[in-house]
Order: sequence, then C-alpha cells, then structure tokens
Amino acid sequence: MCESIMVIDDNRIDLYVSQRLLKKYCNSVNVVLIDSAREALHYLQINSDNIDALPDLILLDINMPGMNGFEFLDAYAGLPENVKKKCVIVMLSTSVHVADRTAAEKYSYVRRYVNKPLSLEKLRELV
Amino acid sequence: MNKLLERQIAKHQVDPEGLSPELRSLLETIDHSYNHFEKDRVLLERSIDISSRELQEINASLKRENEEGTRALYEQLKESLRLINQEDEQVIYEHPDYKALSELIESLKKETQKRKIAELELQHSEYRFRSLIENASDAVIIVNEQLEVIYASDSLQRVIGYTPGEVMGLNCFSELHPEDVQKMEHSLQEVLRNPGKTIRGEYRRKNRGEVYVWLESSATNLIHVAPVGGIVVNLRDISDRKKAESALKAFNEELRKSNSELDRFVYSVSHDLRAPLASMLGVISLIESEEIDDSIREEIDLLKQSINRLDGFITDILNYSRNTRLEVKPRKICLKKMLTEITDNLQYMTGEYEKVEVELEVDARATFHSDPTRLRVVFNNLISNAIRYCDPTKTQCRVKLRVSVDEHEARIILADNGIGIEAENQSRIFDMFYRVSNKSIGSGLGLYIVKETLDKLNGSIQMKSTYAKGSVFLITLPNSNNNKT
Repeated sequence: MCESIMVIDDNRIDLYVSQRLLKKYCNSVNVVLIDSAREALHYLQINSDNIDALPDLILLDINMPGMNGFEFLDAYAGLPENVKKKCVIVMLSTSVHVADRTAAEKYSYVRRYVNKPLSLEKLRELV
Repeated sequence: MNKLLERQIAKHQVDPEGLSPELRSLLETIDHSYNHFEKDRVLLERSIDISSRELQEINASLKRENEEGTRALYEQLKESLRLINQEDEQVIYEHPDYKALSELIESLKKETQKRKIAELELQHSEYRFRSLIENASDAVIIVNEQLEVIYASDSLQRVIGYTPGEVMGLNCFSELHPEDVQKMEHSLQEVLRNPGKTIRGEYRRKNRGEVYVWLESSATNLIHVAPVGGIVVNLRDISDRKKAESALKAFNEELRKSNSELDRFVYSVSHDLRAPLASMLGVISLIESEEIDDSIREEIDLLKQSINRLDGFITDILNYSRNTRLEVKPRKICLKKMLTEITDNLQYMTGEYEKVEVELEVDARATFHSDPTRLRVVFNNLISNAIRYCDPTKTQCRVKLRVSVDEHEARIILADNGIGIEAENQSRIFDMFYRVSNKSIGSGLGLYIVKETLDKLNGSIQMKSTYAKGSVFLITLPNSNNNKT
C-alpha cells in the first residue's frame, strides 16, 4: 500500500529506527527522513504539483525545537488540497498527556496518535 | 316742743299763737310724732350698733379659727413631705382621720424610691452606653432622610479625623471615592427599602488628611423609630484588612504562577528524561526484529526491562507531582469508555493480548462526573498491576471489572486471579516505594499514587487478597455532578 513514507523527527536515533523498521516491514518502501518541521513544509510546498514526490504517509513527532508537531499541523492546513488528500498523518510521541492526544484528534487529517517507541506491531496496525 | 319742729316753725315764720285751735292741735300731734320717731331712731341706731359689733366679733373669731386650722394643715403637709423623702422612717398616724393619709404617704414614698432608683439606673445606663460609643474604635453616626449627619460619636475623629462638630449637618456621602459612589447609592436604596435591617457596605472616603481610607459601614434604617428618627451607621476603618486582602490576593496569584511554572518544569523535565528512553526502546525493538542469538535476545530483554522500569518511575513521579498540585477539575466521564481504552492500551503496550482476559461490566444509573486525568492514573496503575501480576500457572489469567454508578458515587470492583498478596504484606502495599519483592517490576510508587489520588478525589480504596488465588480491589468515588467544587 505504502510507496512513500515521510518521517519528521528532530531525533537522529528515532529517525534511524523508523527508517530501519519501515524497511523491514516493506523493503520497497521509499522513506524520506526530515529532521525539521519547517523543512518538511517546504518540501511539501515545492512538490505540491508533483504527486509522485508526495508521501502517502507522514509520521510526525510532536516535540521538536523551532516548529513543533502542532505548529506543523496548523501550517499544513494552509497547503494545497491535493497535498492534503494524498498524505495521511500519524502522530508519534512520548507524551502520555491526554491533552496532547485530544488536541491531535481535533485535526481531521491526523489519522492516528501513536506512542513512541515505534515497533513492528504498531506499524502493522497503522498500515 | 321738738327741736326739729321748732326750727321748722321758725324757718317758715309761723306764729303758733296766731293759729286756729285745730292747727294748734295738729302741731301738737306732729310734735308727738316727731318725738316718737326720734326715740325709735335712737333705739334702732343702738340696736344696729350692737349687731355690728357682734358681727365684728364673729368675723374675728372665724378668722382666727381659720388661720389656726390652715397652719395646722400646712404643718401636716410639710411634715408629710419630709417623711416621704425620708427613706428609713416609717410613717404611722394613729388617729383614724390620718390613717388614710399615712397609707397614702407610704405608697408615695415607695413610688418616689422606685423612681429614684430608676432614674439612677437610667443615668448609669446612659453613661455606660455613651462611654461605649465614645470609646469604641468604630464611629457611630446617625443621618436623617436627607443624609445629613444629625449625630456623630467622638470616635469619628479616630476613624476619619473629623470631630462630630465638623460633620454635623453635612451630607454623609460627601468625599466618597468616585468608583464607590454607584454601589453605595444602591446600598442606600436597599437601606431605605428595608427598615430595621442592617445592610453592610464597603467604600472609600477621604479623611481629614485628604487620603482615601477604606471603611466598612453597617447601616440600619430607624427613621420610623421615634427616639432615633434616622439611619444609624456604624463605621469601621478596614484599611488594614483591605491591605491584608490585597496582599493575600497577590500572594495567591504568585503561588498560582509558581505552581504553574513548577508544573511546566516537571512536565518538561519528565519529557526530556523519557524521550531518550523511548529512543532506546526503539533501537531495542529494531534489534529484536533482527536475526540474533538467543543469548543476545535475552540480554536485550534485560535492557528493555530496565528501561521500562526507569520510564515507569518517571511517569509515576510526574503523576504524583501533578496530583498534589493540580486543581481537581470535574468533568463528565464515561467509565466504560475510559476503562476499555486503558485496558486495550495496556494490553497493546505490554503485548499481553492473549495472556490476560479482561471482562468489563458497567451498570450506570446516572452520569458520572470526576477528574478524568486523575482517574486515568488510578485505573492505569491498578489494571497494569493486575495484568503484570497475573499467575502463569493458571489456565487463563482473568481480570474482572464491575462498575456501578449512581447519583452519589461510583463503585468499581477490580478482581484478578493473579498471584495475590501475602497476608503479612497486605497492610504495606499502599506505602511509598513499597515493593513486594526485588523481582517486582514496578517502582513501588504505583499503589501509593493510587491512594494519594483517591484521597484527593475524596474517594476510597479497599483490598482483599489471597496469596496464589488473586486480589480484589474496591474503589469508591464520589459523583461530583451535584456539587461543582
């Protein structure tokens, strides 16, 4: 199902783990790793016409310096429709704060909220 | 011949000798009559004289009698008055005429005494009240319907610096702080509308030194009560109290701010502590998915256990800190939904889906209101314990949840067939950092936090357990839907 997955996370190790897990789950998947939310927005912006370059799934971390996950979601709302239609967002976080989960659920384009650490079982669930 | 007749004859020049015998006889008759009249007259005069003298005598004697009687009476009355004013002598007149008088005097004496005592008491009373009013730290003023001051106690000077003389006749609302004018006008209307009722108010007024002071007034409308005829107002200087109030408010605000900062700090710290742990678990998960030796797999598992332990401990500390500090915020809660979420999540996270069978029964007769965050902490801890301490020797590990809600409280029974708790340890399981054995995975804070949290919510927890058979926890929680605190 998934041909292209984008992972947005400021933590290098988490990015690495995500990439390895994703590859394990499906070898052919194309994984894009971005360590800043701003960069991710920029990427989506410039590729808004190129549907093949857009990811099917975005794994988004909440706690990031600069622009955090929620700020990204607010800015994401301003992206062109075709981007939003293609990408499905799943939020990843270590936060067990109920408020974070409820806040995430308010965004209609956020499909799931998953606790880190990511694991194969969780991936199976998601995809 | 009668002298008078003689004179009269001579006057008229009548010669008796030349008269006829008949005229001469007439003259003789007249002469006799004259003499008779003369005699009668003398007799009459004498008798009048006698009568007059007699009357005089009678008059004099009457007068004398009168004077004596009056003086006697006068003396009596004087004496009586003297006796009335004399408290100790009792007055008894023996004479029957005077008996009534003596009774009258006795009763007059008693009345006078009573009146004297009453007057004295009134004087004392007035003095007492006056000294109360004058020496009290509060000021008392009376104003008429036009709000003019008709009386002010000396203590007014202590309160606003003006003597009674300086404010007499002035409008009592003069020099009010502009911000307080409207509310005091309302207050005044209330006072006028409710005679006899004491209405309180707080306002600022300029004192003699041109400084605004905070006053508390208690006003009672006694306009229609004759001796008073006005509104009685008690004024108290509450500047100190106001200062204390605003200091308290400021302090509370600071406390709230610092609490909030502390909370953010704790949250931030705990998050920064847990993020690397999550990363570590991620890497471990990766390793576990590789083809590795069994011994390495075991070692990796030990690593995982330690990390989970640390992570659990940090979570516990965070929960403990938030429970102590955060306000209880009641909200509508669906217990069925919450418990299902928590159970699913726990089973998912620990991978214990098949291991433990969870049964949930809910009987809700009313909507339930309580603090959701805290409840989650309680249930998470209890259910994760039940899952963790299940007994692998039994055919099927079971956890039963029975919930009943009515308008006063919610009762949750959590029963498992896990390994149970030994009798001698049961009393200590809610202690801070108490763990049953070194092999225990938990931090020892879990049940302690459960108890603290339930205390904060005015709930309770009871436990029954049999070693190797299982444990039952009974939790009661008040339903906050009636009293929003």
